[in-house]
Amino acid sequence: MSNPYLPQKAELVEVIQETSSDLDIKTYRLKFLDGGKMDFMPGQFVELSIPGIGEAPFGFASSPLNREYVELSIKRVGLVTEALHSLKAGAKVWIRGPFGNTFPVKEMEGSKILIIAGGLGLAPLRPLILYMFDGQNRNKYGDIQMLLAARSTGDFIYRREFGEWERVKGTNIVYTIDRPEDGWNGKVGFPHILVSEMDIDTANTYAVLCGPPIMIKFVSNKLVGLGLPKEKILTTLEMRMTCGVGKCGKCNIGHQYVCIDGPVFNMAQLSEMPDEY
Amino acid sequence: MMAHAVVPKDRLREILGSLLGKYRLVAPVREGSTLVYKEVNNVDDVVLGDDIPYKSPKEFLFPQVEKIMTFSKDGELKPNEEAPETIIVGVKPCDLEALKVMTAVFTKGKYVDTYFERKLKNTLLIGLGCKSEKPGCFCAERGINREYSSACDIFLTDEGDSFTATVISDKGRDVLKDFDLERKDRQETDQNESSQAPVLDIDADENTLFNNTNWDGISEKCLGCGTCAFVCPTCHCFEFKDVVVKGEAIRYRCWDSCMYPKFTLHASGHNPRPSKKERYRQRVMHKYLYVKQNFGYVACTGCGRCIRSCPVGMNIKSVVSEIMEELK
Repeated sequence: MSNPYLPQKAELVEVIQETSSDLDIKTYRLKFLDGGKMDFMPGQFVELSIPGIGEAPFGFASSPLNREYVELSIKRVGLVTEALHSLKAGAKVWIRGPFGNTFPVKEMEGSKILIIAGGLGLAPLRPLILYMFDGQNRNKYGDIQMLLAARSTGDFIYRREFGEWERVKGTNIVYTIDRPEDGWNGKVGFPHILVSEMDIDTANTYAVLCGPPIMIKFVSNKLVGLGLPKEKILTTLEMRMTCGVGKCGKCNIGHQYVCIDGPVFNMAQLSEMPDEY
Repeated sequence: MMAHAVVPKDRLREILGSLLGKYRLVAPVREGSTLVYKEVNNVDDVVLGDDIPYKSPKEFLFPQVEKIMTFSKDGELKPNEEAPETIIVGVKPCDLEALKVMTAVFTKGKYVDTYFERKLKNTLLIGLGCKSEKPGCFCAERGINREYSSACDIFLTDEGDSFTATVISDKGRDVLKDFDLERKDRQETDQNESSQAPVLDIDADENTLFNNTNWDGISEKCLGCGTCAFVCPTCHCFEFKDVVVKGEAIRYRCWDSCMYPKFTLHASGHNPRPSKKERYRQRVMHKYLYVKQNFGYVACTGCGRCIRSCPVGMNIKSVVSEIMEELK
């Protein structure tokens, strides 16, 4: 058996500044060195190390079909991320993974898709979005609707790609911010309110949510109210996942470990788990 | 096939002495008035009596602080995978039961903790039965026979001037094969693995136990010091910590405890277990329910160490009894 705690060396080939309001989110494009690679599926995560500082878990943010590089979108919020935000292209970091389960991309085939993301919650859904957008895969899924929310216009991540996303066949994207701004022609208001205005084929839709816990809770309750089965409302959870491999004992909710049984759960599963996340 | 041998106590000391050069020998020794497992260099220090050591010997398989890898100055990664050939002698049946739990957690499932696995593979376990129950002990209520366990390579039963050595594994037979020992006939029925079904056991639905138990009241006097986790033979939670020494980054793995607020704290400031109520609930439910759901073992052996060590007299045996009473 191989040592699950040993990371691979990777180079930061590009650092992309994401937000304009706090400048606290950056997307890191990484290439593995020494012949390393990492095949993953949407929903999975890695443990990223900066030697001497520590290690922390991050969800993949790039397409799993991209074999050239992987991307992680990271907010400056703790020890490791603070150190990471001071790194420039060319710096070396260490990564191990992929860990965790995946969005059920096979089961979702044939269904319409509703993506609802708040702020940085869009990052772990981007691998799924880009996977479904891929030419080989697009026809396997029905219409893709998205409700993308941010506090302000400056807080949308991946804004540079939205135009391209909108042009993908059978795709409709609604944008919303918390408060009105001059020149804004999207929606204003919270996703759980706006979701009622959307045309959702409840008999044939998978909803995928990620964002602040309060948003996930309100939106999923609204979707259940509209008649979407709990099994078809998916989300991905965060926990203090130190080891990523079900040993360190930090990320359990009841007997389930977010690092190996998750991070992707559906609302039917979550409603049966103790409320401790 | 299990074999039994008579080993006079002086002879056992000689045998251990002759194995000293070849193996790291870990045994109970006195430190002041406290009995602890330590690496010994002189077999005269080994104490194979009825007393139960202050902590279990888990730290020789899962050290409290373990250097797991080094990131060198020139950007190379060097894992520290050393696992010396070790004999641990005098391991009590409760602690052998605890090692079953540790082994399941670290080696079962999709991933194997290679640090634990390698140390376990290179360790020979010599068990030792207990004659009497000590204050705080409740192994019998947990269905563990304090006199015998087969979860080791060789098991010793104190017969006064000699030990009866039950040779259980091939590894145990091999280590003793060069010593000319007197074989002994013994009824296998003398040695039952388990004396009885556990009477202290929680049979409840996860959500019922989580929501319908008076965790506030139960945890009221807990100080959150974490001593219980540090003396527990089955606690296995950990955190990584990097330390920079002369330009090299050394990654350590350190014991952690669910009793501490930072154990589950997110970088965002969110904490899923913000108070001792949630943290103590996790301790009890992890031991008595979650490990059983995931691996089939209750992660409490009744060794009594947390009860003997708690500064405010928290008692997991009475807590579990109280919960069982409430669930009736």
